[in-house]
Amino acid sequence: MTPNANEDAQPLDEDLLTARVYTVDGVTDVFPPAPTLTLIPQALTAIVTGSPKRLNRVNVSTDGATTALTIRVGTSIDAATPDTAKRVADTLLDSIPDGHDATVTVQVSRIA
Amino acid sequence: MNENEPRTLNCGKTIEELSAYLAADRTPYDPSIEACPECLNALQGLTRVSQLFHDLITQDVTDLPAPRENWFEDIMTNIHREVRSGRSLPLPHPDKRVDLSLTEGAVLALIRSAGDIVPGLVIGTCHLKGNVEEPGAPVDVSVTASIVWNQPIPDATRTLRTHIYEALATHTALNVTSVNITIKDLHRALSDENKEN
Amino acid sequence: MNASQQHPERDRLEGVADAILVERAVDGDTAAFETLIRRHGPLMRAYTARIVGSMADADDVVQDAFHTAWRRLPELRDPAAVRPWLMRIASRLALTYLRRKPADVALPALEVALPADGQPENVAVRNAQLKALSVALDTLSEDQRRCWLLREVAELSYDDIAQEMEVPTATVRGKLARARASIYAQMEGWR
Repeated sequence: MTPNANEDAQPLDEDLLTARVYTVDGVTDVFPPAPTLTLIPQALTAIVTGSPKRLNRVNVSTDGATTALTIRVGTSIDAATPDTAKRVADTLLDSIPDGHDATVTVQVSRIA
Repeated sequence: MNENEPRTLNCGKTIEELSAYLAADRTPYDPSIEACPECLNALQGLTRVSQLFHDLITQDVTDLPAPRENWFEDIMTNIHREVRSGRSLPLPHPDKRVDLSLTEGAVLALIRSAGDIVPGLVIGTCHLKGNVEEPGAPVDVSVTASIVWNQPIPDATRTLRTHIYEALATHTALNVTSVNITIKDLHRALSDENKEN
Repeated sequence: MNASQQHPERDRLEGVADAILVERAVDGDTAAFETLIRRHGPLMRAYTARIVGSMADADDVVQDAFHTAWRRLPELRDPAAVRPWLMRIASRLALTYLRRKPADVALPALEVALPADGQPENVAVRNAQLKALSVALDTLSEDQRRCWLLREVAELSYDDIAQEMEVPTATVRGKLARARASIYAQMEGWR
């Protein structure tokens, strides 16, 4: 990823992250967040991105210092789910710019 | 006939009484009714009307126009939105910033799929007993299943148990200590309309 | 068969008893719930249509009934008795729907659609009987007809009917008695 001097000012792009998750081996679906899942442990003020939020994607919330990435996925029955989930988490971790505090939450809600 | 009064037979019994007697399957046996020809005629008439009414509704169902487009889909969309997730089963990840989990609902569906692979078997209820939210805690799986076709029960049970163990080992991080399978009666598995098939 | 290719899960469950479908649906199996909708939906629609007087409105009511059923399925104590349970929900929602309707809107009576020609004599007689019963039902007062439907089709107890219609049980008994007497008298020619 190209280093960017203005990283702090640019929130992570949910569409881009979602597209990356779809390419992860074993992922079959991305689902809307469940009510309990989007509860971020710390109280954060979300910086809403310019585009209207659609539901089936990675949810990015940040208070400027800490970024929380949350996603619900469906995985394939032909691939080991713990491995798939780990791959999704790693993909999201890789997307976080250096120096950012971040948490990644991935829930598998369907295996088919 | 006075429309506002329940009809009374010459013998003194009312249609309402006879209707209640019929609804109770004619028990306990009431000789004053069963020995009275007028009552017996009325009971026969009531039975016929009742049967006719069921025929009427059956006819309604046969002639039923299809619902509007998307009637069915609208119901299912709402249901999918409320899908029962159940508890959150942890999955491992070395990085402390990461929280991975699997829903109990997904695992129950997985177990049902394991049952679907075994021919002639239909899984009914599925239960994960134990503290599934704690990594490594012992978990007992309980499943009820019905044998639908003429399958030997021990073979089917053995196969199902193997499938379930394998599925859970592949897709979860659960510490499964037992898989308990209860096979229910064959004749309860089929719906009444399909018993002849 | 094409349907099996498109919906293998659903077709696999088609011959399975209600009790098992309910157990699976309670655990979250939407395919099992779908099968329940296909199996019981038609009766619920036909019955509700006779209460609310219109097919379009009946379809809305039955949709709501299934939404309610999905949410409350875990409360069902006897999974095998899901059909009367569904009929109760449909009844309740149908009556709620009627209460909201303005009083001066006349509900159209439903026609019995008679089958095509070429019927053997006894079938023609039966169809005439059904038509007569349908007419007899329509001559009842609305309350009498609802009581009759709740009792005969939904198989509710007198107390349950009283609860749904928000009247005393004695009133239900009275209305049912008059409904039965009226229908019985009108069907006199067919007995």
